[in-house]
Parts: sequence; C-alpha cells; structure tokens
Amino acid sequence: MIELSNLSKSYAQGKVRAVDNISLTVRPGEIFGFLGPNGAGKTTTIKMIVGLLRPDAGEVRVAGIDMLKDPIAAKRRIGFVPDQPQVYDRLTGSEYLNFLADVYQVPDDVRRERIEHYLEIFELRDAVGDLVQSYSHGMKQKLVLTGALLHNPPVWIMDEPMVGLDPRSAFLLKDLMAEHCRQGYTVFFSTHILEVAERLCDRIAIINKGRIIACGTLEEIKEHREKETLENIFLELTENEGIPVSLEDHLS
Amino acid sequence: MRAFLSLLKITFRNYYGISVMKQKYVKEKRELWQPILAVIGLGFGGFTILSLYYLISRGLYTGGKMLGEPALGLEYALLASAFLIFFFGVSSVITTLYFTEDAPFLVSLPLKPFQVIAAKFSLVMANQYLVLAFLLIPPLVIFGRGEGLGFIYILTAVVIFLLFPVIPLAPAAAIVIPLMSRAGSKRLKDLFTILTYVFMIAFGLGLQFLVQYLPKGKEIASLQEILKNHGALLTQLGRGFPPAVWATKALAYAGTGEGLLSLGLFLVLTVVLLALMLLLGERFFYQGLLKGEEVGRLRRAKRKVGVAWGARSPFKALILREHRLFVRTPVYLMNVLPVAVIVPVIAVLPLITQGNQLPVDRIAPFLATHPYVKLVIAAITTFIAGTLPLAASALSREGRLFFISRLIPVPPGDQVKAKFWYILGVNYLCTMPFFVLAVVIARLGPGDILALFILNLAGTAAVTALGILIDLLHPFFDWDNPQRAVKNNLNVLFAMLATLLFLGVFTVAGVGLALVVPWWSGFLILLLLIGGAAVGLYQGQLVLAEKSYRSLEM
Ligand SMILES: Nc1ncnc2c1ncn2[C@@H]1O[C@H](COP(=O)(O)OP(=O)(O)OP(=O)(O)O)[C@@H](O)[C@H]1O
Ligand SMILES: [Mg+2]
Repeated sequence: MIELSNLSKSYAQGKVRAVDNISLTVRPGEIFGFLGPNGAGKTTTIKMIVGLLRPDAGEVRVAGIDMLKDPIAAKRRIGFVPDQPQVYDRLTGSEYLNFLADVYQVPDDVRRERIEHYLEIFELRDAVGDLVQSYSHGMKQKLVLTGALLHNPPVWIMDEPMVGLDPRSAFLLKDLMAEHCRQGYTVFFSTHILEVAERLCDRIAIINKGRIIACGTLEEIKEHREKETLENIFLELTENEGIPVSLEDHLS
Repeated sequence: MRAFLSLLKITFRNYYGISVMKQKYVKEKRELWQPILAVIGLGFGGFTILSLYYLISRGLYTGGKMLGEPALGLEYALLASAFLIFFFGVSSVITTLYFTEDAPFLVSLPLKPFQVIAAKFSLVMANQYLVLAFLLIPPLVIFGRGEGLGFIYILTAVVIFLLFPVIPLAPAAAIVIPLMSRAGSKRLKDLFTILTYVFMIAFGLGLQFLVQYLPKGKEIASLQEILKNHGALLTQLGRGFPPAVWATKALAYAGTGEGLLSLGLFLVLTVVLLALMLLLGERFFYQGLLKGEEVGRLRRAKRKVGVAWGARSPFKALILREHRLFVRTPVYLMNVLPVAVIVPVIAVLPLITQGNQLPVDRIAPFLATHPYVKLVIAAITTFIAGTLPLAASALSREGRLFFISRLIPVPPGDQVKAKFWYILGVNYLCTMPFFVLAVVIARLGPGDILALFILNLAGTAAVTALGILIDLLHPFFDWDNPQRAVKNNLNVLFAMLATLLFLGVFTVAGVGLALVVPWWSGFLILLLLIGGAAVGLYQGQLVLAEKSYRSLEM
C-alpha cells in the first residue's frame, strides 16, 4: 500500500541530510511502526509520503498511485494526522469537519454517520459546536483524528498520534487501527512509545540520522542479537558514535 | 528599567521577525533577492512619489510665503500626518494591545502592566515613523532652509517628529483599555473595538467644539483665516486638532518666547496623555487581556446540542472557509473596512463643509463636456481595491495551516479560484461606498453609471488577480499573529505598487484615447483592454497556482 524507493531529502541547501536514501514497503493489512530518536527524520519521511514535502530524489507510491505524478488521487486515499494538532482556531469543530467532508466529497448520509460515530467514541459531541480556540490539546488531537478518518481512507499515516491522548482515547485509537488493518487496509505511524510498537505493529522500521538501520518483524529484528527487549535494541542501534559507553553500561 | 528594555527588544524582535530574517538572510543567505527586490521596489516607488511630494511641498511653501504665511505648507503636512496617524494608527493600537497572541506569555512575566503597555505603544509609534518621515521631513527641510533657521529649529523639529504620534494615538489607548476591561466575551471585544472608534471621533469633534470657544491668539487666527480660504477640509481639521497648530508655531517661531510657549503646550499635552494611558493601563490592562483568553468557554454552555451536517460542493466549502476566517479575524476586518469608509469621507468632506467655493453644481456640466474625466471615478475605485490587503495576502493569511490546503484533494487552481471570487466580492463591495457617493455627486445618468459599474468590476478583478499572483509568487507563512500576515507582508506593498503601475498604464491609454476617439468608443476600447488584462491575470494566477502549491514547502 505504501512504497518508498530511494527517498532522500535534505534541508538548508544540502547541509542537513534529513532523509538519506530510504526504501520501504508497507503491505495491505499491515500496521507499520516507524521508530527513531528525535531528529532522525521520521516527520520528514512522513511529510514526503503525504505530499507535503517534495523529495530531492526517489519515489513515493500510495495505494499504487505515484504521489508526484497524480497527487490529487493519491491524497484521496490518505488519512493524515500530523505531529501537532493544528486546526483553524476560528472555526468550530463541526465547521472544520464539514469543511473536510466537503473537500473530500463525502456524501451526506455517510458523513453524518461517520462523524457521529467518531464523536461518540472520542466524546467530542458536546464540544463540537465550540470554536476550536477553546479546545484542549487532546481535544484538538481527537478532532484532527476524526477529520483524517472521515473519508474512510485505505491508508492511515500518523505522526505520533498518541501524544496528548488520555489512556482511554489512546486505547480506542489502537483499537481503531487494528480494526482498520483487519479490513485489509494499512496503518503507518511513528511513535516514541516502544511498548505500543512492540504490541501493535506487524512490522517495524528504526531510522537514525536519515537511514533505516533495522526493518522487519519484531522477531526478525531480535534475531542474531543478544539483547532481549526492543528497548535495548533501540538503544544499541541508535547509540551515538561519539559516546563509547551505552547508557546501560554506564549505569551498571 | 533593564526588564523594560528587554521587553522592548523582544517585542520589536518578535514583531518584525528580526531573528528569522537574520537566520535566513545573514546566516543561510537564502532568498537574498527578497530584501533586495524590496529595497529596489521601495526605493523606486518611494523616490518617484517623494520627488512629486517634494515639488508640491515647495509649491506650498512658496505659495504660503507669498501670502505672508510661510508656515502654511508645514501646517498642512502636520495636519495630514495627524489625520493619517489617527485613522490608520488607531486600529493598530487596538490590535497590538488586544488582538495579538502573546498575551498569556506577557501576563506570566514579572512585569508591571504599564511596562507592557509602554512597550506595545512604542511599537505602534515606531510603525508610524516611516509614514511620518515621508510626510514631514520634506516640508520641514524646505521650511528650515527657506527661512534659514538653525540649531534650535532642528532640535525642535526632532522632538516634535518623535513625539508627534502620541497625541493622536494615546487617547485611543486610554479609551480602549478601560472599555476592554469590561469585555467578558469575544463578541463584546469586537463591539468595544467599534465603540472605541466612535469615542475617538466624538473626542475629535469635542476638541473642535472646545477650540471654537477658546480665545484665539493673533497668529492662530490669521493662520486659520488663511486655511479657511485655502482648503475646507484642512480648516475643519485645523480647528479640530490644535496640537498641529501648536507644533507649527513651535517650529515657525523656534527660539522665541512664542515658539517655546507653543512647544510647551505641545509637550504638556503629550505627557499628560501618555501618563493617562499608562495610569489607566496599570489599573485595567490585564483585566481585559485575561478575560479575552476565556473566549469560547463562556459560549459553550449555551450551545444547542444538535449540529447540522450537510454536504456542499468543494468550491462552496472553500469559499465558506475564506469567508469565516476573514470575518472572524478582527485584524483582517480592521484592515479592510476603514479603507472602504475613510476614502469616501476624505473625498466628500471638502465638498460639504461650509464656506467653500468648491463648485459641486458645476461638476455635472463639466463632465458633460469632458466625458473622459468620469474615468477618474473608476481609477479611484480600482486604487481602493488595489490597496486592500486581502488579495496580496490570499495565501499568506493561511500561515502555518497552509499545509491543510496542500493536503486536501482539491486542485490548487480550484482553491485559488475560490479565493479569487471571494476576495473580488469583498474588494468590489469596498469600492461601493465611494462609487455610489461619486456618481451621486457627479449626477451621472444610468448609462454612465452602468458603464462605470462594469469598468470598475473589470479593474477590481484585474488588481485582485494581480495581488493574488504576487502572493502566489512568494507567500509569507512565518507569522504568529494575524496582524503580521497583513501588516508585515511585503506582498501587500508590492501589490500596491503594481496597482499604481497598472493605473499609470491605463491613465496613459485613457488620455491617448481621449485625444483621438469620442467618449463611448474610447470607453469600449478601454473596457476591452482592462477586461483583457483581468482575464489574462486571472488565467495567470491559475497557472501559477499549480506550480506554487507544489513547490511551497513547510
Ligand atoms: N523545516 C526544516 N528546516 C531545516 N531543517 C529541518 C526542518 N525540519 C526538520 N529539519 C531537520 O531534519 C532532521 C530530521 O527532522 P524530523 O523532524 O524529520 O525528525 P523526527 O524524526 O520527526 O524527530 P522527532 O522525534 O523529534 O519528531 C533534523 O535534523 C531537523 O533538524
Ligand atoms: Mg517528528
């Protein structure tokens, strides 16, 4: 459902190589976790997948459609949740959702049903008539989530979607993700919560300094390594060359 | 004091985006063409207008001297400056104090409210100096050199120049601060903004009323006598704004007792108003600020539960988004509506004040023999449309949320189309007050009205597309409060210059046509030309949209 081939992107006129020749395939029915330390290039990669950034080199295909060649068709198939819940402050929640449903051309009865459904599970029904200005961080995040799922896109792409959600909502979201994949669709998300990645994801990629340093199922990644947990593997793999002792050794 | 200076620095840095500019132009040397083009554009446009203004100022000085009142030109300039600061600065005072997003941050700092007010007021003052320099320095130099005045004159001139914005602006702050402390909701906040304007106008009228009963000194009387005969509008304002007369006298009689007395009056009023503003600010400022933060929450309780979910076409949805974001952002409204109202007022005041010799009755017969002069109406309305900031900030106003527009599956061309038609509607409506007034005063017939109506539409459409085109080339997304999206946006300035150029070209065309073809055929040719330009620019913006939306990254 998502194919990245030889994707590269640098900032500041080539001085910062944020993403360096990445290739990845996410299959239908798969929940794919994208891990990596701060500044590793996760957000940059995700922005290229959804068409917000133009890659310096490489190709992005979403649901078989080339993002660079036919962006409109590709965008229709994506539900995107950015790393920060940015919404028009001066619209009400319902105006925002209606706007998105309109531009994604969701028919009347379908939209009503879906919006009511998500508002119900995210407990936003009472707030949806208020200006977004008055929402809390988590409420905005839930509004953005609802907006991203309205048009029932086959491919969900989420940048740290659990940040700011209360435990109940986070649980519900994980449930929604699993349900989505059971239907043969795809979820691609970045996270810093390793337990979530461990329990939820079919496959995982770890990115560091713009390069993929590990990719596969949890078992595949753990294979041939003496470390037991994903946390230990993550720490080992993303260790800086400059620091000779890993944090763990240092502590013991 | 150190804390205040720091606050002042950060206020200015934040407002002008100095850190961002440094990073971009000095450290990374990115897009250096931007400031260079700005300097060239401003330099070129500024130089042209400045030379023209210099000539006018010289003419006024020479004319005044012949009448035995060499300070006449200076007084004109001071009055005009006060008038401009009053109308365009008041909205700036209100938005800078109450409609920026740094309020919660500032309140959390260990600073006194009056210090915050002082910093914000300094910012508004600084924003006036550019216009003020433009308006005042030429007449000040001409007068000083003409009269051979020396050091004391220069010193007085500097003091008056620096303090000049206080008298028109501080009362606005002094009015708006206590009012806003009573505003418990967003709607009241908007209402009080309008009320402030009403009070300011009442304040102006009250001053004028008062001054009529003041015993007049000989010089003031003689100056006003002359003003009365030489410009009805300025006479009105001269009576309504005595500080300009004091400033004129302080300059004209610099070094003498009389000059000192006038300077004293000017300074005392300045200090009193500043003190009043700071006192009221210390007492009431934070109340209004903090209340404004609670906005939506108060409205929540009253909301009804049922929400309408209805489908619209993407195009309608885009138009609706434009509309809602425009009318719900007071800063945008305040940058648009005053222009629509002020221009007709400026144009009409001289015609209706008493004691003028302006021949309203002679306009209609004159137009009958000189039909091409009617085009001036369309030129002014087009100019109004070109100075409104909506088109040239069409993309910029989306700011960081522009990513939503790039995400949605609507072709950029369609998105820009929605922007164009909405902004055209607003711009066209804004030209209407002047248009209606002008055709009534000129007593035009239905044929002429219809013709100008259509020509105005073509002209407005052209400059609207021109503004959007300019913004598409290089939008400004890096703002943190909406004030900056329109006020700190060079595109608005470029669009204004481009409009002037556009009008210049068609003025030449119009004059040329007037010489060779009769009115109606000339009009049709001109309409075809301007209509053609509008269609061309409209198509141009659509083509550019496809390119820009794809290449703009954030
Ligand atoms: N707009 C930008 N301009 C310049 N450099 C940028 C920009 N955005 C990101 N970078 C740089 O690109 C690199 C990758 O950043 P990115 O945001 O993709 O990291 P991330 O993996 O999402 O980090 P985090 O976990 O903190 O969200 C970083 O070195 C960052 O400094
Ligand atoms: Mg990130």
